[in-house]
Amino acid sequence: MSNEINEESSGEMKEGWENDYEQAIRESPERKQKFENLSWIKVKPLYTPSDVEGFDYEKDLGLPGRYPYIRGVYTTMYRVRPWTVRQVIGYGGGLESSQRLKFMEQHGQTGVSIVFDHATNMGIDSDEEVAEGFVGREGTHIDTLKDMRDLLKDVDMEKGGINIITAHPAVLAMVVAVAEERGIDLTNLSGTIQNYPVIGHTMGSCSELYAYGGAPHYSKRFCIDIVEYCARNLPRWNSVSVAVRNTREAGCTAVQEIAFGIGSALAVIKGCRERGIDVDEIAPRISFFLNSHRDLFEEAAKFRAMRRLWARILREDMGAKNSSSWQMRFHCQTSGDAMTYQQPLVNIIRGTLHGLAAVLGGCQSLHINSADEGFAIPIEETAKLSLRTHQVILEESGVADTIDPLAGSYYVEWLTNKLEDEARNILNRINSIGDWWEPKVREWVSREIADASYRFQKEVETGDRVMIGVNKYVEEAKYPFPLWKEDKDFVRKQRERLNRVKRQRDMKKLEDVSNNLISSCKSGANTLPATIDAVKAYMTIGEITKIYGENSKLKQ
Amino acid sequence: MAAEKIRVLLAKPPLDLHSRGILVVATTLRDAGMEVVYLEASPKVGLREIVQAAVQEDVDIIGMSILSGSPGIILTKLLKIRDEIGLKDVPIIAGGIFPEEEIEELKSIGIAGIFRPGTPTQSIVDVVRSLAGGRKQS
Repeated sequence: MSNEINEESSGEMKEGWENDYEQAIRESPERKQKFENLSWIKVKPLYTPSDVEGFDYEKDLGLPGRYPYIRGVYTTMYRVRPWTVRQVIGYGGGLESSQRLKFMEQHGQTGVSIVFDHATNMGIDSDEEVAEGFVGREGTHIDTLKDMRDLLKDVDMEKGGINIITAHPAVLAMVVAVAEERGIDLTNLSGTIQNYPVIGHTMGSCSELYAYGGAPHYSKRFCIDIVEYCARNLPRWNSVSVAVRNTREAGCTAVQEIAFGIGSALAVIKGCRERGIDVDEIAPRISFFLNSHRDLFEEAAKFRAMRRLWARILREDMGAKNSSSWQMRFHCQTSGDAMTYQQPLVNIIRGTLHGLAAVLGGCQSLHINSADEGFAIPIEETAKLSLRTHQVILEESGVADTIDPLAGSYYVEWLTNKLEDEARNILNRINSIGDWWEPKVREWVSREIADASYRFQKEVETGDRVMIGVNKYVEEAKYPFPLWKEDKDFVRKQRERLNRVKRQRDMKKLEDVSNNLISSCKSGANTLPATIDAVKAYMTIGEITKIYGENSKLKQ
Repeated sequence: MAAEKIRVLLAKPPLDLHSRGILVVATTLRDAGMEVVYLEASPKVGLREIVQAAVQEDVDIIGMSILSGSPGIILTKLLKIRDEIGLKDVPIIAGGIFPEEEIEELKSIGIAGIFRPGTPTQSIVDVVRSLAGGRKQS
């Protein structure tokens, strides 16, 4: 008998198994009609070497810290330096958020990430009518440098790096101003500004600058101003964080996440080229901000595929020579979309799996969403449970003890190849439509996102996609934690802070910086230096934004 | 003669950029045979502009999606503007994240329907039909 098995080729063996499988599911059917991941790619019952035929270990996989970086951007990965525990924080104003930053640091947070409210990101002061009902609700509100100083008062700016989720030059300017006040050498200041190039309307994206610009080429100017300023003055600062994570939340697929992310990053590189900034000057300072959704292997494969695709495109198509340009470093925030409003405690389990996928995929920094994601800002207890989830994955599960542990799995490598190929097809499609900054590309991308989101929703409603607590195992569940309550008096307090600052300003100085800012906007010079001077003179974010809007009319 | 279609204005308050839900609702209502006018969130489109758009577009109902603003503040103000402009017969419904304790209050001040996460889209279609379809059928 054993001889017979040995004589059978692997192809014949597989064919035999496939026949057995077909036979078996005729007798008792598979548990689902369709097995498809979130990119609607069919998943087979089994993967074998024939699914990764022609696979070349050195060319397609390689080693950690080496091209094509699929196995990780660093040589030692988590054996030496674990991912940064970076839970995003932001509510109220500088003082309010600073309390939460301190709390999180005490419980094991290792990096800082601040989300600002849309009013701040659009450049609207807390006392403007249009901001009513929004100030400090969804992120920290900043009117002036005073608020930024309050926000960062307990943050060690020389440790861990600060992530600011905004594309507003004045917010970066305020961080720079606070660093200078503390005598920090700007060449050592590390951190990240989101500054995500136009795509839909997401938090911290340049398109938020539509508020004062109205045209993609307008936000392009400020996006590239930030990139250029950072390249020349803040060498350790990531000047773009490609926040395609939020695009995924808006409903795109994993494949689209790869393509839209790389597409927008390439748009920045091309935008820089127009100003004479070389790819190797900017690419090493582009980082990515990715999602981690509910299909564990698809997500892990997505991170790997994206890393390899980025490396290949940068080296082969963009002509980058510096190996740092080829390395796709990323922060990950787990999916809020995959969490539910129903039975909130189940979200803790989901967060664990989503976080696990990010770690298996080699993230540099991670935020794991909390149980109350579907309701409001997390309370201290649930935020702390998120920290504990990181700690369990890192210190108990063993998954971080060896590098890229999924490598070599027939399924994962097949899926990695597949996601990379499909993402490349989308990138080619985008190129055939036009330039990333053009409205027609943005419209096409927005439509693709909305279509995918609608398709998914319909699958949830028919029950084809199970969401526990939403369309299966539905019950009224008790939730043991209170929900976040906003301070109804906050807006009054923030306006008072703003008025106090305004009353104490040196009007002569204000006029000087204002004239300076106007002329830098008009001349087409980089607006960052004048913006930094403006925030130092306590010009408000609303005032700065109005100057941008009135003086930066571009021809395009 | 074919029945006139129900016309719906879907809008976001000015600084609320979370558009995923409202886009799904827009497609659903269109698929159900209604005319949908969608106003993207923009600081240039305040609550007054939203009500003015409802007048210009001659809609039968206004649907607001609120995920990041304060529903109490926004909807109270929107109702006030609607009444001032004399559009009282156009009902306002809202979807998004609403604190439990505010729901009854919002209904009592005149919000005709509230949809929280997990609502099947068909039930939104049904409510819109029953609120707006008195004059029209679709």
